[in-house]
Amino acid sequence: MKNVILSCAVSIALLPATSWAQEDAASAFASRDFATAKAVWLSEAADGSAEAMLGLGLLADRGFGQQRDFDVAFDWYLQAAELGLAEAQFNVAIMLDAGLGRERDVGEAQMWYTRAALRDHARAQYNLGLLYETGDGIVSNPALAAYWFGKAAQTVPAAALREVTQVTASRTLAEPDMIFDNVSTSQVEIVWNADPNANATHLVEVIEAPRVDENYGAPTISVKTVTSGILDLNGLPTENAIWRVVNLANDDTDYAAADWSSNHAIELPRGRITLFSDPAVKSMEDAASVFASSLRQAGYWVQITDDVPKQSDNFYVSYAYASDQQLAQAVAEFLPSTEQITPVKQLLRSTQPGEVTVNLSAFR
Amino acid sequence: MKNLPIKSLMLTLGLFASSATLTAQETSQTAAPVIEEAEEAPWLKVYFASGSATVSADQAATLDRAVRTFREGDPFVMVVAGGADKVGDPAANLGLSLQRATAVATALTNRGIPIERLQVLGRGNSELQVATPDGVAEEENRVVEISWR
Repeated sequence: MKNVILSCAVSIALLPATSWAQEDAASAFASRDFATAKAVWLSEAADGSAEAMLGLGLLADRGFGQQRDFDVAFDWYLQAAELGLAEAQFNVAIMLDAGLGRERDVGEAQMWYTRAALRDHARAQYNLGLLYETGDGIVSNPALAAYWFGKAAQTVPAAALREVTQVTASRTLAEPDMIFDNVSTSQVEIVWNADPNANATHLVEVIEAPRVDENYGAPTISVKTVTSGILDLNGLPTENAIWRVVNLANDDTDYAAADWSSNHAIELPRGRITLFSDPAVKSMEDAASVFASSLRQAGYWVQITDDVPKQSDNFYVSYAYASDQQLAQAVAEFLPSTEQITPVKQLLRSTQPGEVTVNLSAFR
Repeated sequence: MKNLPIKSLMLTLGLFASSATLTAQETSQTAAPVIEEAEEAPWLKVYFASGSATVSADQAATLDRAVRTFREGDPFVMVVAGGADKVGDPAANLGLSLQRATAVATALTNRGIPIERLQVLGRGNSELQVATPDGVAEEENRVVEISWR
């Protein structure tokens, strides 16, 4: 009898995992068959399933069918979170926020809450609002608190009821503090720290790098936002892109930018220069070509175009943001001029930050 | 002893239990998790004023802190159990304890806890946190406990 039992046990143990995988792990979990759920999830997680990783994290977190282990739970949640699963990102944030089995790290929690919030996770949005409202471990930011409560309000009734007293801070212009980025052909996700004392409007620029000696194009992404992250699940046409976040002054006269980031060690531009040239005038076209070549060699990105905006019609060299005045002046000195003083003009909202316009047809 | 009817035997046991000093940690009526985790407090308490079933503002802050510890997981059960101190009629206190538990459950769902996760119960004057004679006001008994499994 003992031998029969033994061989039965052995054959049961040797049952292939695939036959178990037929059964839905979620329903096994629901009927508290944690051993089955775990077996299926382990196999699915090995195949890269973020939902399975979340499930495994839950088993360890709640101590279902195993000894409770916050470290194991956190590891599984983190793997799923890195794959972009909002529930897992939320759980990671919670564990960091509550300091479960680890040192409390509100900065990291804020980043993970933000990533989940960008994916419309209402509880993450609400918790993020609470974090910014109380300033519990991070700098309080009433504007962002109100923003995220507003986002969560449809799903979380308590968020709709919250009134956050706004504080008029003395705004200083400072560059944003970048905390996460993942820019690729499958998605664009960028997260930064929103300083409540700095300006509230952020401009996110993602630009494809031009080939050598070619015009740069319009930004693939150029988004103004008051929140502290963007998520675009469309991704980019190519991997060769640079990106950054720019803080804009409230009156749009100036900016402070984080450094450019890039994939694949792309050479970052010293500035962007738009050369307007009338294609009907051969000498102008030739000049534009020569200038572009020299400027590119000096590390600038250049685009030559005939589409002069009305604003820049009368001005030889112009720029939009106060911080670009020096760049515009340097470009003006490089170009020929009939007068001793080359006109360099600030025209609000005429260019992107870090961009200078040269209108050759306005050359006098 | 074995000739005594079951009902009076249980009454005897009940009387015996209530005369001892019970603390929250010693009572474990709900099916407890397999392993008790020392790092995470299993009980969360929301306090109420005498005769009231309204969640006050400072207790609402407790709930805000609570939602910053409750992970997203499905399914697990959250038990919201209300109590009342022994001031007043036990029948009214039973109703009051259930009202309190409901108020807290509502506050939780308002903060995004899925309603299908919740169990709500009113303990009335049974299983008090702190044993008191009739008519004694005791804040520790005017409490709603949130536990989960």
